[in-house]
Amino acid sequence: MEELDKIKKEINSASDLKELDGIYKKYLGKKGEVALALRSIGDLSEREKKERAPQLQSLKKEIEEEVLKRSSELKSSGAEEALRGEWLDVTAPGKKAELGHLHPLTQIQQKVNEIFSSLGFEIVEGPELETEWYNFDALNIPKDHPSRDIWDTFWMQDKELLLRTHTSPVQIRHMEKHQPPIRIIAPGRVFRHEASDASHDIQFYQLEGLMVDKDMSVANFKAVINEFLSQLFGENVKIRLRPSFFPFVEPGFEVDMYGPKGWMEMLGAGMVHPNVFKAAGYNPVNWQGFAFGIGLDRIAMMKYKIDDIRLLYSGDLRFLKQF
Amino acid sequence: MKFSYNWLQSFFSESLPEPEKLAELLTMHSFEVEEVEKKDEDHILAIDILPNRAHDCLSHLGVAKEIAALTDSKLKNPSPGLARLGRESKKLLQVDIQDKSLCPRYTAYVVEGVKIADSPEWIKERLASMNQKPISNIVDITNYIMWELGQPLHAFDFDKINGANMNIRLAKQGEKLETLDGAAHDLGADAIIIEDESRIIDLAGIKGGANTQIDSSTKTIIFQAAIFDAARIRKAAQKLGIKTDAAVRYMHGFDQNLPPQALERAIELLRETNPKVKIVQKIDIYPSPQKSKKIAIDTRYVNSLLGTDISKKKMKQILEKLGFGLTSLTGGFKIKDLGFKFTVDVPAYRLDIDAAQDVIEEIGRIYGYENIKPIAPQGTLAVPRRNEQVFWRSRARDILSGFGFSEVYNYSMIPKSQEEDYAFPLLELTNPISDEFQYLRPWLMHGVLKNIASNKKYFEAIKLFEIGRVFFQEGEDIREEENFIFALTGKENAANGFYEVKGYADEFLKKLGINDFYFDPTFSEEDEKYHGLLLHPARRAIIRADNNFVGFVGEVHPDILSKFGVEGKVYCAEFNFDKISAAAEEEHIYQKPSKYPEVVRDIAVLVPRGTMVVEALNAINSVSGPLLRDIDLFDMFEGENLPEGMKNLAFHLIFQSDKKTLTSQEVDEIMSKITKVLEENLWEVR
Repeated sequence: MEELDKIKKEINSASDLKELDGIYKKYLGKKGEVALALRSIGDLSEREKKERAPQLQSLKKEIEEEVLKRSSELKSSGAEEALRGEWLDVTAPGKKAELGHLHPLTQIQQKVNEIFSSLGFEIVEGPELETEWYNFDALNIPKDHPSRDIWDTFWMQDKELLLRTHTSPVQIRHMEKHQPPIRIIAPGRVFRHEASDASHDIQFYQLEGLMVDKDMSVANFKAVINEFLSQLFGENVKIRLRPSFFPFVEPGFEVDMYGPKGWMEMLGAGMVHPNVFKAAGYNPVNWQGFAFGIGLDRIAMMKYKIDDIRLLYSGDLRFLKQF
Repeated sequence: MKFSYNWLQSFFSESLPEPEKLAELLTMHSFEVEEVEKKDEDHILAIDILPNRAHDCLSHLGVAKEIAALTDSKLKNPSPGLARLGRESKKLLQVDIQDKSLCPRYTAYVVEGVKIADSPEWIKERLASMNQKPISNIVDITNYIMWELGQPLHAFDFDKINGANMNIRLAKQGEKLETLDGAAHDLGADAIIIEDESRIIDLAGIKGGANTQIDSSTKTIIFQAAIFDAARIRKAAQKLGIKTDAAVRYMHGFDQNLPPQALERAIELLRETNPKVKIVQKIDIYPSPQKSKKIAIDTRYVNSLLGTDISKKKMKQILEKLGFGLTSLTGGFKIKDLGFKFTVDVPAYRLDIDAAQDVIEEIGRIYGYENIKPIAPQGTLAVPRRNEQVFWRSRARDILSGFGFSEVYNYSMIPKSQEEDYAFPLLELTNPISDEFQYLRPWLMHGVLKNIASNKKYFEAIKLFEIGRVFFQEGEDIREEENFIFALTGKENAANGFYEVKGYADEFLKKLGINDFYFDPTFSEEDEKYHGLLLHPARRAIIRADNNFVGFVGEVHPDILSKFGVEGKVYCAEFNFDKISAAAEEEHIYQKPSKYPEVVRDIAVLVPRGTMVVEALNAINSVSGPLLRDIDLFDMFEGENLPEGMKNLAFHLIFQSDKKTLTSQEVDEIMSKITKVLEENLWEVR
């Protein structure tokens, strides 16, 4: 056994495969010590044979195992060594992945659509080129009335058409074709004939909401809008309703949300005016509903801290690639 | 409008809440107070009077009435009794109204013994709080009354009036008047005017005439408090571009009981400087007095619409504070399904109250919207119907952003200068904001080219897409459709840009589940007219699905690019997205991959340069049979080593069966058929 320990030590001190091969040959090669001893075992007496043969066999096995072990050790450390030679500087930048960017207004619209869809609202759309009837008359905004002055309008040449000034006409178009209960949102592009500055542009996006049933109330509106704003801006927003005026609702109110700079005007809303129900072909005695309109550009600007609405329509990739 | 806190206080014996507190009350229950500003001993409140209350609240009295309701205080009426003012003694003036609709009420006092002087200090102070310079006792009173009561007044120098008659009529085209401010106006046909026997003396409801104005020697005046037709004043003021404080008040109309009150108050104020003035004639033409309004409401509906449980008593309290009268219709008994029913008498100054909902708003806002507890709506639980257009639009955007394209939003209007790029009429705006926004866009391409031009300064390779509505006229029809465009430019695209954009178009359609489409190099006359001009005539194709136009792909015409100042080349594909979303298909059937190996053979054909790849493909497909699973063009080459005018097409032909392993003999047989058919076309197989 002393013999075995000495050989193992020798094997494990081999520093490469070639040296290991030499050691193997020294014991188990054609002229190796152990090989020779095994071959000459026939020369021994029966008694000596019985004692010596198993010892040599086991020694041979032990050597073979030890050489194999050492050889795999040497091989793997050699591979490791080779891999180390393939060193990369991992702090150098990665290859640029070329994914495109969705416009911030698209992202806001998708988010808003998702929230209202989860609340059971259907998404409907209407034309951007509208008639005077849908944009004004049907919404209880009479001709030659000062209330019409709130909406500065782009008119088409020689046509009875205009660019819609709000998404509210979609309310009428939808009610004409559907019976309550109604639960819709109508997002879309709208236009105003006004001088543009950092917070006003000649076009922007609005989202109209309408819910009509037997007994919709202001209290119901508060619950829905609170849920929407909470989901959009994070938990537990603080809101307040204050009186306002839009010809197509009565009562009408403005919804403010509490933010870092105090109360911020978020949207206009109210209970659908009986004249609007009439224009859409409903009997106002039978139905109650609320409607609201939110400016999506303003929401995008608040969420992304954009300070000029015109950036949204500039097509400037230095801006768009940030989204 | 700006309001003086001290002036508002003058209507009350009790002191009002502090200015900030008052602002908060008004904001939450009446009108938004935008600013409270301390000014000397006073506070100025900037209050955003809502348009439906302009008729009664563009005055300190109007807002004081709101405050009285909000603070539960009693209002002192500033007007004295009529009795103190004396009797009429003379008949100096005759007033005629041509058309009663021009002037529903005309009230005026002729006042003798006037001495022009400075106003008392307290009136000057009030005017200063409204940023009005004091002028003279008479002029100051007309301004003061407007801000206090909301009634515009006008004062004529009686001695400057020619004759004893005044006539109210519509102006005629071509008539002129020089107003108090010295400006000369051409009066249109909508202006209401007052004339004496020889000339026009007043642009009624808007501005007085210079010819009859008060001056330092004025002795007899006519104080006029009339009501003129709101719609005509609005039109005339807009047309003439004069939006005076008086005109703004007339446009919104007001309580027809106001004119005599205003005149009484005016005389009272005048007596502070001219204690001896005498009213010698009172004129009041009021043929059809304003009718009082009654509205029926029931407590059930009020609570149902607000979502509250407000008691009958509380509703009554709120309405009475606002000056409404209430009569019970049900003798104080509750009726099933209606609750208590009332008739509400609307105060004359509330022109905005016409229906039960208007009354409910009054109850709601005074009760306080903050006191209404949110209640989640109840209803059947239903998954909303999916909007297909919205769904596919979102899918399309994801595909393009996956290809590395960024989304832009452009204006729906395009410049006047771009009209010449189109061979069909564009829809034009009547009142564009500038030449830059003259027409509605018929295609999205112009916007995207503009973006490419402006981004070229910062980026070499650009990939953009946009989805949006386009507008054009087809025969008598005005069409509004949704289009989808993507465009790319960049150095690396110079040679293969067309095939790159075509490849995207191909994958785009397939990802939307549209497989039955092809690229058609032939442009019909219609295609040529609507989008031919925009594209390079030899590098363009119409994309047809089910044989219908769905879009086009091509290199943008160099002339168009140079107009936008874009160097290099731009390739784009624009689709009619309404047609795409209608054809898009989410259903998809799985095809089991074959267990057996595929055999790939290459074949090269030398064809004349003008031969299209599709012709070679059609030839191969005509004889190959079902075992040819795929053909892949891997090289298209012309030039050196090839005969002049020829090009070399090289294909991988992939054979596979889903039933067995193909032998080379089977494939050889098909290959020889393919070779034969290609050679029959006089093409050399290499």
